[in-house]
Amino acid sequence: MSLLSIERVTKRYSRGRLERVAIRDISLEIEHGELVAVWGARFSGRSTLLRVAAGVELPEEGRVLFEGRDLAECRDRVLGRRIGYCQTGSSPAQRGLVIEHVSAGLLAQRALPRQARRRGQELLLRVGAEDCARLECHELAGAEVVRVAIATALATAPSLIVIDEPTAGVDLLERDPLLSLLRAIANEGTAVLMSTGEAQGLSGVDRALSIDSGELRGELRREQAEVVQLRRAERGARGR
Amino acid sequence: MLEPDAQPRTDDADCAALRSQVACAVLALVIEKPSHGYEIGQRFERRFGAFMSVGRSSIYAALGSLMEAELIEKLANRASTGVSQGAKAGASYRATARGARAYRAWLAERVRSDPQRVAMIGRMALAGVRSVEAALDFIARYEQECVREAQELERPGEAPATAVDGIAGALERLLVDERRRMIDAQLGWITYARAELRALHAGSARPAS
Repeated sequence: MSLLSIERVTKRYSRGRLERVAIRDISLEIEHGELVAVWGARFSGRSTLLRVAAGVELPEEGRVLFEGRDLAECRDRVLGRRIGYCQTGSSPAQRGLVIEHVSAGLLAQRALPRQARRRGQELLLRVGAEDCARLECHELAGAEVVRVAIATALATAPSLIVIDEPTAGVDLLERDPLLSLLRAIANEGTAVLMSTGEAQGLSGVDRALSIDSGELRGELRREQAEVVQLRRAERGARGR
Repeated sequence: MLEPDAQPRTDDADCAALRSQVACAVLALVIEKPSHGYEIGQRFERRFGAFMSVGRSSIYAALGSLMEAELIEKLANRASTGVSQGAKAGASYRATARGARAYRAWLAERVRSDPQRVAMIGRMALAGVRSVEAALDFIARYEQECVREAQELERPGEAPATAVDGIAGALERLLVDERRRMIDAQLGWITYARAELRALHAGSARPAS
């Protein structure tokens, strides 16, 4: 059984009397510990796909199964616990200390305040944002916002993290370290589904998908990529 | 040895000497470290063996042509340069300033895309892709190739290159980034091309008024 199984999902949005299909008939499976990236241009449907995959939004057609259960029926128990959806857009209006924000999920699960705070510190250290603990959320910038969002998502030890454009608005030199962090999280067993609008976000992922006009195209597992590389090397050797 | 006043292009003699990829690789190794022929052969195998398989005679032929073009020179006094001397060590070579400049110019020319290849692919596409549907299919496959190439690119080390990594670490990182940006440009073009082809398809499907 796959960790996440998206089965023939379609999602539409209405705008007045017009209706726009954001994603159309998409199927996708994600396994434990996989790092999957979806590349797409703006308005391609990449963010909608991630929101539907995380259970933030429900599709009009098709279904999303998480650990074999339909998200439409269990998302209140799963989202924010077994699935971590990272809000990476910084909000100037967001108030409160970062450490409070990171440990809020644990408090909601009835952890003791001291335990939740200690776990929050550990998570901030894990994502390389330990210096941000005493900052106000609205004081964070660029990569810090994303790192704190990842720490917040990790607080409940989810099996899947969904993160929309983790490198958007992040300084060029800070992007690779962020992507390496997501790789490390996947290597530790937490699957990661991310979207990207740049080739940089695709390096070293287990599967790279592309989405256009709401339709998912081609996918390549890492093992397949290695076979392709070997074949290319063989062709190169023969061509010498 | 390495002069900062790089000239933008190689002259004719340099071009002739650098026509062989083996000669260019040998020149790079000599720039990296003055060496004798046998050692260059060993380093060539370690560094470029996965891409080019050449015999020792080709290495010495490359050294000869580089010498003739004055891109490298024989070392006057090996002992003073620290070049190792073993039983197999013959003459030792080092790059001239002209050689270092010519190599950088050659490298810069190779890093940019090959216009002949692009033109050739353009003509092949014109001959073999004869409908909007076929063009859209070609575009979709091209997109998959770009995505695949981006996936295959190794992510550079976690931290930006530092003084400890030196110029080699920085260049490695920057060349990967250069390739990614090329792929971004290709993917951007694909998005544009797809939109234009779809508009064309919609226009051709609409009945004439």
